[in-house]
Amino acid sequence: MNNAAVTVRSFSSIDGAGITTPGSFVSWESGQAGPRDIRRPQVLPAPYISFGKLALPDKLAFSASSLALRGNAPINPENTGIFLGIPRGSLSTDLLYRESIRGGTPSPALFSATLPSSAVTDIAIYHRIKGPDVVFAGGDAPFCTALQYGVMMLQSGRLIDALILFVDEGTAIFRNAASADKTTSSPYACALLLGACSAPPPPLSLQSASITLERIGTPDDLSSLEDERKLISRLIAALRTAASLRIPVSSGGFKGYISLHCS
Amino acid sequence: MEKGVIIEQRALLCALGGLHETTQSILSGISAIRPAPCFTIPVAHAPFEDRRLRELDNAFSLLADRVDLVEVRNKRPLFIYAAAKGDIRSLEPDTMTRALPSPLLADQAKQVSRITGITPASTMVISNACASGIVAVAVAKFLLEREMYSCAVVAGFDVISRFVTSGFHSLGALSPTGARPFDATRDGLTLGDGAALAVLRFREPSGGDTVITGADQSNDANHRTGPSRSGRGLYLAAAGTLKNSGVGPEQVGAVKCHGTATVYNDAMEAKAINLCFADRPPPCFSMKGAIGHTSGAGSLIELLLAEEFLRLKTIPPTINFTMPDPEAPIPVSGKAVSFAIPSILCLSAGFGGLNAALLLEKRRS
Repeated sequence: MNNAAVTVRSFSSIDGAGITTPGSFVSWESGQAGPRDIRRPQVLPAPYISFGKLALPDKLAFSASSLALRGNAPINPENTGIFLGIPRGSLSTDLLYRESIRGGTPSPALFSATLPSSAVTDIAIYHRIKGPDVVFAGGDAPFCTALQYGVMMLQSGRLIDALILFVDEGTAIFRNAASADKTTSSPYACALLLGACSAPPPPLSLQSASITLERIGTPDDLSSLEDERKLISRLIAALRTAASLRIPVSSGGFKGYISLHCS
Repeated sequence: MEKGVIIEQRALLCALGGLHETTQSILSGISAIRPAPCFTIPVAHAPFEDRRLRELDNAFSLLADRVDLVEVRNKRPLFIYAAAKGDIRSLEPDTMTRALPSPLLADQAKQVSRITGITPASTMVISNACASGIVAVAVAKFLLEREMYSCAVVAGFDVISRFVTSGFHSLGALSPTGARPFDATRDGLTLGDGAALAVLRFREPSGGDTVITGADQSNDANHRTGPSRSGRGLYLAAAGTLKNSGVGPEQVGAVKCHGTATVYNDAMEAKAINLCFADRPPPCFSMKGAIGHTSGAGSLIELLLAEEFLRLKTIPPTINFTMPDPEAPIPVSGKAVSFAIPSILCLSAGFGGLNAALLLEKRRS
């Protein structure tokens, strides 16, 4: 099996503290309610009429993607894929749509956003990304699964670029929903733009960051969403400081090590 | 013989019954669609005879009895649950009880795994709108070919609900009389109920096996709910599938269309097919006039039915098709015909411009 490293062309994360991109961290403005209140100028240089209408998971995915793609347009749109881990699906939008049914006027715009895959739609439309998409709306470690699948698609030669996304709208919004998950967490999103080895060199801010997946060893268990969020935070922190990292991972979807090499 | 990904076991439930009943009914020209009020909205719908089969637990208990999972249970398979919305009774607008399954697909996947008695090496939940089922099979194929798992179990589930029906109604996508795919008078889709279970393995095919020889996907990058008018997105998925199958267009025996019976989907799909086959496509068919549109589970259900039609060497009729549409000029027929070449290109398209294609080829005995 081809296990070549893939290049990290760019990244972003959006969390309770602010917005992280290569070489930059921006805190939320005073009065801004964190990720759920992210604003278009913080994401895109020009107006995009749909931005304000996006449901929360879609807005988080679009924002994280747009930040990672800033200055890093896909080399070939038909050879660029989007792989999204979205463990809680679109439950907040489901609840909003249900209210619109109860109100007697079901909203077509909200209905289309009740699909977890809705989170990739505006990314594809705005950034003209036309390759394969896979939406992992749960299961074992959806981010690691999306990362593994995206890396393997790059290694297979089908793709030149892969956008790996993770979106978790948190739990505060739907405490009363019929969900078995009763943990508390805030909204979070991140994006990794990965390139095949044949892709042009990465931007200066990430001079030679690469990721290797090694399927060996007896790694740590990664059984909960909280564990996966911690893993993603470590990965983003390492990218931000250009530190190398080797994280042991054991989930159903991936067993081995995620190795990040920065120099 | 070269190894390939093979559907070793399969079971399904839809408005016409199980795999055998549905196959025979479609070949006999029977449709499950009945004009009737559906959740107070006047649409044709395709309900299960027993509404308990719309419940995740009941449906998969029944499906698990129709396949032999004894060996699979010992093999620690990859398990993929594919759905657009799944069992969302708890999201219905008049739901009062809390004793219903979680609306989260992640929780439903665990439930299906428990009901079927599978202890997976890995669980994935794939929700690619109406293409979920076929994308799940494509992901399983990709991972099985790299020998990451000994086998894979793919489960699909989506059913009619007020939640979903009201949404399609608000978009003006539902037919008031019943789906008529590719017909010149078509006026919208009809929703249906469906659940399916398939066991896949990567091995040397034996005589008569059907092999999944290629798969690919694309995105229209065009519109949130409407298909690309050019058909180029679906064409890319279809052409990519033929390319990675190593098969030319002339080696395809039939096309199983997505064929929702909306004006724009069928016109787009006809363009994509004509692009792929240089205006000389093989016979094309849609099953949605018979079983309705079973959403994310639909592409898995239709894949299993397509495989069965391949085994029977018969291209099924497109039920409710009577009048060809000059705006969708592909060879669709209201009558069953024989395969000249034993292969089917399966197409699927979902909201958000998500397209997927997969090629089934019958290996000669």
